[in-house]
Amino acid sequence: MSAIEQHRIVPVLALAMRLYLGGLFIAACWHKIAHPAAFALDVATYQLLPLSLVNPFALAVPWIELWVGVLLVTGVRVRAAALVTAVLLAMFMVSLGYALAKGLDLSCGCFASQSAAKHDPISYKTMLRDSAWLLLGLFVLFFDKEPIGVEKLFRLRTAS
Amino acid sequence: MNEPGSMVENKGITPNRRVLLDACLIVVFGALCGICSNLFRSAERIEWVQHKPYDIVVPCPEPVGRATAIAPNHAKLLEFTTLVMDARSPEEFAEWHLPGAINVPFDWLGPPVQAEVEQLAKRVAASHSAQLVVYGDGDNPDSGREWARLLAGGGIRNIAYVEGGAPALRKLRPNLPQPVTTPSATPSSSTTLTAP
Repeated sequence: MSAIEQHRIVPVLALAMRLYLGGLFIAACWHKIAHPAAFALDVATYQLLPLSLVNPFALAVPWIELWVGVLLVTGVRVRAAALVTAVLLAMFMVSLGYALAKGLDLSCGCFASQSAAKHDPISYKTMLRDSAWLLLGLFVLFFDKEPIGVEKLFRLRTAS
Repeated sequence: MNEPGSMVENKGITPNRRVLLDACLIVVFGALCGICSNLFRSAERIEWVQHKPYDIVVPCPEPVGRATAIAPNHAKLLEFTTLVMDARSPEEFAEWHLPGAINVPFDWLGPPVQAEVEQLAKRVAASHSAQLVVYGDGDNPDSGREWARLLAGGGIRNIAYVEGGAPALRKLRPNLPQPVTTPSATPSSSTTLTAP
């Protein structure tokens, strides 16, 4: 175990990060689950995926976000959830970078559809924001080896 | 040592592999939920595979830059380091134009593509002029202003357009003063326009 992992503050710090990231993902998925057609259009707007993959992606990703959010908040399979979080955020950053490189003037579509988020255009600030979230996810993945949460509580009860 | 809580301590799976496996399960389970939700959805159900392309309207940034507006009596127009460009039609140009001006018509029906703009920008830069002034028909929108903005977007600096275009210029210059000299006939200035 590294010195960081052994530090007593790490699980508490990681818990705060997990609650923030989990809440964020749950908030982000809500609109996408409710309106898959709008989200599919948002995905298509990035012009990154082939047309045949747009709808499957638009259907799957919001639910993955939901489960990741729930797992991070509750403390079940935390590291796996953090890994998926990191992969999702990396994927979003690639999409954003692609759109920025192409000079597309569009809204992020992260928390609401394009039409509802006219005043949230993508920029390098969006990339920075996602980078910060990615760092949080990586911290949880690499350093939160004994996460506070339901799984730990269950294990302690079983042990006693 | 196995990760606490991995529940596979005795199954010979390393913690990292377990994390990877759990991550895959999360993704698969999430995807299945998405498929099921679409299957049982009564409203807003989407096709599994989209066949008809989405009607995407993405406003791409206009390849235009900043061009300064100058008055028709601005001294810049008479400076020998200025290249004057007339954006009107060849007929209008033949009828009246500022002495020394070159005619590069702006076609509203088929505005120039980026490659043409860049080509013209290079041509303008090759004239070794220090500044470019464009005048158009003076309408709203003004063809001179449009050309100036497109050229500015193509990498030309020190670019201006005449407010009011040719009509405003003509009103001020009824006797068509002779040019001091044309840029092509003069030695290049120390400051030159820059092509991309």
